[in-house]
Amino acid sequence: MTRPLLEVRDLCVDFAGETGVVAAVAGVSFSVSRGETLVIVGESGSGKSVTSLAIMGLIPKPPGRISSGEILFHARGGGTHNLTRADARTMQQLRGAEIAMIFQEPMSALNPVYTIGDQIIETLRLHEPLSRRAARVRAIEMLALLGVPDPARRVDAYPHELSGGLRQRAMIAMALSCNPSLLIADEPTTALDVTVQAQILELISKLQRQLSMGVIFITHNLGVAAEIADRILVMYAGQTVEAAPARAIFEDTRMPYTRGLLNSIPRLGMDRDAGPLPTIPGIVPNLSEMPAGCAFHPRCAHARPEPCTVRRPDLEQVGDQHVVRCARWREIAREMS
Amino acid sequence: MTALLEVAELVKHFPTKGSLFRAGPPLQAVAGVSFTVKRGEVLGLVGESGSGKSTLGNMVLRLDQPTAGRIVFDGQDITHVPDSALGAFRRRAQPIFQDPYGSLDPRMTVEQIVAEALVIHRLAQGRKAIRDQAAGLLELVGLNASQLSRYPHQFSGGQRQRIGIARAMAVKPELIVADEAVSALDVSIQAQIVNLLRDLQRRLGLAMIFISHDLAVVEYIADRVAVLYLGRIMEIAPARAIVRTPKHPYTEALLSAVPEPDPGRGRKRIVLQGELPSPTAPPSGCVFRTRCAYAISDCAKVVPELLEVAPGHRAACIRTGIL
Repeated sequence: MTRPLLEVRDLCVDFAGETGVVAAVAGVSFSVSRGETLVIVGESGSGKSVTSLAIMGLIPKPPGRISSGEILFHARGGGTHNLTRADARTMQQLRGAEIAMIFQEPMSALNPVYTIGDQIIETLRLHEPLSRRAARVRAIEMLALLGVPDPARRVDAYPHELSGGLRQRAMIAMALSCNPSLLIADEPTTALDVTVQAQILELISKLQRQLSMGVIFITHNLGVAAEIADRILVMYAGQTVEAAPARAIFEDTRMPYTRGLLNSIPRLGMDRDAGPLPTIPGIVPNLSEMPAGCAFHPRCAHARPEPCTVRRPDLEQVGDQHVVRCARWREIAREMS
Repeated sequence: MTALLEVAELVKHFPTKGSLFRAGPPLQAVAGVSFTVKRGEVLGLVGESGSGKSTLGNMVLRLDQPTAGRIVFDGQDITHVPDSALGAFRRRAQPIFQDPYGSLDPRMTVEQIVAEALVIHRLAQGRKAIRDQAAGLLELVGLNASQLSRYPHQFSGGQRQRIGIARAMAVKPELIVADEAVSALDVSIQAQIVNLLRDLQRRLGLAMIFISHDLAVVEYIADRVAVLYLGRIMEIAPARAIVRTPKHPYTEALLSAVPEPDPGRGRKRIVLQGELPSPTAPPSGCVFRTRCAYAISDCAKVVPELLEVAPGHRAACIRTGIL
């Protein structure tokens, strides 16, 4: 197997809060290869966005800091960078040219007082020796590649003149303009209509194949994950609780939390007379009030006082490339069958 | 039985900026929508951003004044009743909004938020009575009465939505307009809130307009569903029929775009091409034809009528047989 593009090893990110230091990410490891899509799934507060910000070197310090772990990025040029220790200059060179990020809210990434063309051109010329005219041609090509209708005209539009879906495309065009090898997409479709979401998901898969990028896609919706994932990593309270090839997550679910997430997605054609929607009771624990034992046990229907409330479970191998953090996974599999 | 709410040929135009001395063409947010909602019935409104679903909800609540058309609530035409005389209606028809962060005053405790409605509508008098009722309402929505003196920021997103629901329920409404009430929530919390709304709606016999872009949620909670596109109803039918036997190509496309957690599913995906046309210059004939896979030249000439295609099932498409 070829060397992965990105390797995250035992990443820990702390935040200093009013009530002391909390671990937003508490030991997460994964890797992404070229041409592969890893989807990180979790609810608000699971640490999925903090993980992606750590890779981009965008953790606000203070109050945040990467307290331990490594983020190894193998750049196109051949060099390997440990992003947890890279200096500001190196990070700036990597961001945009090698690693790009798109966000849920395109207005947070687009500057309202510049046209989208200006912003794509600026990104291009920051990383490549291009004349303004050549960069403008490339910007129009990028918008066309992203399915923006009438790109030669839209290149001169301000962000507020575009619909939500077009803005999202403009932001993706900006992110992809320097042909990055790794794209991090943080809930890029959550604020969009389902029809636009379907378009954007198709677009990201298509571009990923064309440009052979590695993609880290972050979402709280396993339905969205099913559309694009090669592998899925489920996070809860700052840790990986299950990770596997996409198919195994859906067809051979091991972690009760993953099952809960799957079951709570409303599906078309449900029989509503069969009773209420399955839910996961309770809420994600506050990071400063983490329960003892398994972090998920207060919400878990399978939890037992022993061992779930006393010992924090380790990540165990349960199948080919399939790991789960549940002390009772064997018994639960038996109970379910 | 007569309907609790009847909406007839409702139209809403927003002015747009034109050139100096001349207004732009009006933005037709809602262009002639009619429907009824019976007591105890849930009508789902689905459509993309720009379909006019929220404007429609706001007009029903008289938060937006219709440009034309009629709103009849419990036999009374309220379209032109002045705001000052709408007090009783404001109690009987309550909104639940998408953003539980934006719709709760951060400086008020939960008790004050819930009690405000009780006081305005004189539904409780005396501190103890108000507090007891507020406590009861919190418990109704699955919160704890001990949380009465907390502030909104001390709650999670799902809990804040519960507070919003408690506030709406405080005045014993007959009609609820829930506009994207669960869209901003994580999936596991979304299911909790959908269950709560459905349980309250059934237990209290409420009529509800449930506005959402998520067809799976709408199918679950609604008895009937209206599919909106560019301010017009494309199709209206019992929820089950909308999902199992859609008769309008737009409904079919919306259904196929719903992401489902089943990677092995061999579903036909219809990705709608292009963008929603501008509501200031809607296409001639059928407004959906510019993005419709089945459009023929006749579609540009005729404005399709909303016609019955099966009992209780109406669709506005000259090619309904095609699906």
